[in-house]
Amino acid sequence: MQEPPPFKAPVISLNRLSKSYGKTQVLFDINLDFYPGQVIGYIGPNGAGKSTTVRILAGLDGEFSGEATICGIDVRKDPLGVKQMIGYVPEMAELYDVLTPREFLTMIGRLHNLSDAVTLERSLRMLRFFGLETNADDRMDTFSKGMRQKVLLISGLLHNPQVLFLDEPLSGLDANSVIMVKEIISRLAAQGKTVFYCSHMMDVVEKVSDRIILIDKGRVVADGTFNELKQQEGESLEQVFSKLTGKQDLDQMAGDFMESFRSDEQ
Amino acid sequence: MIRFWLFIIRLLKPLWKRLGVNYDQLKALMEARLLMETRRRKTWQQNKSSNSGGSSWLIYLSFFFIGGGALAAIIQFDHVGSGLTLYFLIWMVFFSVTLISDFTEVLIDVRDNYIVLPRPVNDRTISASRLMHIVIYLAGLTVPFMLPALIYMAVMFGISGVLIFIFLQLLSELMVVFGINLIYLGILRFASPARFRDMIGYFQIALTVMIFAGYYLTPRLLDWDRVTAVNFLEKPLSTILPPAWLGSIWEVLHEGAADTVSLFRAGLGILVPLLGIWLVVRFLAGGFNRKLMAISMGVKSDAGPVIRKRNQPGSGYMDRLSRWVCRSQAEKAAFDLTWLMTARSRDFKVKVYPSFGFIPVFFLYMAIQGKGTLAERFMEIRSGNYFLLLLYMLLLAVSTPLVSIRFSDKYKASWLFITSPVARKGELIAGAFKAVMGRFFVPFFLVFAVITLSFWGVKTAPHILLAFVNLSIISVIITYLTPDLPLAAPWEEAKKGGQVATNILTTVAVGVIGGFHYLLVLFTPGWVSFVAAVVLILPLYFLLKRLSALKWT
Repeated sequence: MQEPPPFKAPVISLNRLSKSYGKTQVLFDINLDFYPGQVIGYIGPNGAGKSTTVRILAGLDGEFSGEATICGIDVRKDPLGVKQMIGYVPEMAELYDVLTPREFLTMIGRLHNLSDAVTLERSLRMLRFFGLETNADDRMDTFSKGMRQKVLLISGLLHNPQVLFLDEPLSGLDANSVIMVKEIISRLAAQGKTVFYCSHMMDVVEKVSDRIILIDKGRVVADGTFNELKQQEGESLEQVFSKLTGKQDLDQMAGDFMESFRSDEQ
Repeated sequence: MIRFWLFIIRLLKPLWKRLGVNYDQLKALMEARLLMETRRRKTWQQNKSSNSGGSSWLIYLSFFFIGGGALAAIIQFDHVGSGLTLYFLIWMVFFSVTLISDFTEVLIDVRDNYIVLPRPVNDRTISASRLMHIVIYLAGLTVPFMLPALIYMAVMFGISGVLIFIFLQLLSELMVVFGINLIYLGILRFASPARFRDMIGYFQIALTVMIFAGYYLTPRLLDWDRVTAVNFLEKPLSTILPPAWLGSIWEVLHEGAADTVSLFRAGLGILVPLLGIWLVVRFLAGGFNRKLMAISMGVKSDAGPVIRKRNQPGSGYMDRLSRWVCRSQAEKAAFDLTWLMTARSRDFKVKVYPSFGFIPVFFLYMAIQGKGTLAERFMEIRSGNYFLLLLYMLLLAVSTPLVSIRFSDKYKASWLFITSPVARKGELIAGAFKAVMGRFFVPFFLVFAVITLSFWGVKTAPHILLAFVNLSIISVIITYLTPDLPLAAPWEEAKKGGQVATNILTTVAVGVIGGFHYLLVLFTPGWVSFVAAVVLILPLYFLLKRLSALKWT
């Protein structure tokens, strides 16, 4: 278990967090504290409850039991205050692609009550960073998936959030952009920002995260740095993952799958 | 219907084999396509307010009725050749506009590129399935339209009449297909693919308005006795009209006309379509299909940035307007978003703009209804108080974008309203409302005001002012009663009929308030309306404040 850094209050705090949709419970009694400057890798199989946690933390879902705070703000009592503190980039998020990046980002800035001048200055700088400055006035419906993802990332960073929630932020990005995003993530953490990183790409999570949380079926099954997890469970994060989330009989299942082709072999 | 077409395809099996088409694959493709087509129709059917898809049952039915209307031309005209000319004129106009608005979707199904192309299907099979699809599509439009006229021809002229008529119909279709190829190529030469798509959208709007106008106006225009005695074909100028060539073919084949002009036109009528189709197949189709493909693949336009570079925030019409009418940054965000989306989203335009086209048509319908010559009607309209009708009818049109603004095909992108720290939902709603009013209500109202002032005189000025305030108040109330986030629901939800209540409310409100206004016009001097308008600005202001103060629920 990780020791909390001294003299710092947790920036994200989950206390006995449980959540049900109707009769199905999706989160069971989750207790977690995260501190400024951490990059948290939040991983788990499909349907483990990752997005639900993020939605609750982003102030989008007040229907849960237990407590969740961001920078001391209760997400249930003051969701707007929380939204002001955080940046949220959902996975494969839609954007209004008939707008240009400049128009889209101006709108985002206004929704965060930034002045237009600040928004413009920041968004042009960030677009330049991602090599999109020549596309600033092109409609995004002509953009590739990676270009859209870059605009989404910018939209999450524009208001300089204290906490950043990223859901598969690298999807569609080319190798260079991946390196750039990773660099930005570690710089943000160095500045004392907290980055909450959800992904299925274990190799990336392994590298960027200071701390890895593995959840399965709504429960935290592992929590620690990559090295700590490695000592307990196995060589790579992938192995840790499959060991803890229980696809032990993979061999058997793959064999069954290959059986489907038997009619061809005869 | 699917079975019927599959049967036809099976009948042609030897032909397919000879052409190198794989029959089993063709059958599989056609079955899937036709199945999709029926599903598409069913969804259209439920949603009568959005008949933009040309291949819907609604369009078939419209074509049947308009075909009946066009038949009236043949019946009414003393001279069958002239009647046919007018008939084919109507047919070709409707047919081409429908084709233009539909063609890309029927011709190129983008999904082909992802689903069919990676499979081991040869080019000929794909081409054949496309061709069959087009043929089935054309037949679907032609048959309902020509059915009334065909029956009439059979009764009046017997088998020879029917055969000639079908022949003419075929020629007309070839001409239209050729013409559209030329139009498409023309547009594509000067416009980028993205722009092209927008232009197709305008054709769809035109089609909707034309069908509406067809319902209301054609029957009225056709009982002019004087026109029907005219023989178009005697006028030399009619030679430039392709439908007149078809009329002449009838003259030559059925009436035995043998003068040079008739023969010349009949020759054109046969040669041009055949030559045209040969040209299309031989030369145009290749480049055309390549370009269409580019359109459906959403190739980046080479025309450069869509808008001018703006380095300073707050220049330009929209920015100035939004800064002037909006109170908060969030309101501005919703204003600009709504403004830009309504300007650029083809979907929105196609669904909303037609309702503005209906106003003049409807007004014209009301106006030319009744007895007397056109001049007498004109005088009567001018001396009456029809301008109130004109002004208040605008609200029926404006309520469409007011209600539709909550829908978008990009509704999923509205997640960012929820994740942003916007204090009140009302700010977003008010911003969107102001943009809709600024974009759809104010400009149209100004046009109508100018028309009213110039046609009915300056004495209408106070009434125009009062109508403006009244309509704005009703619009705010409509929005206030259905406080949904802009662009945040899928269009499918529009079908669920939540608007019925809004529509009824709008109609009642227009009736009641317009009625009061009418009483003011009848019984009080103009200054009363002026005072009323000034006084009512106050509630309008407070209603707007209430609107932007709406809380999240």
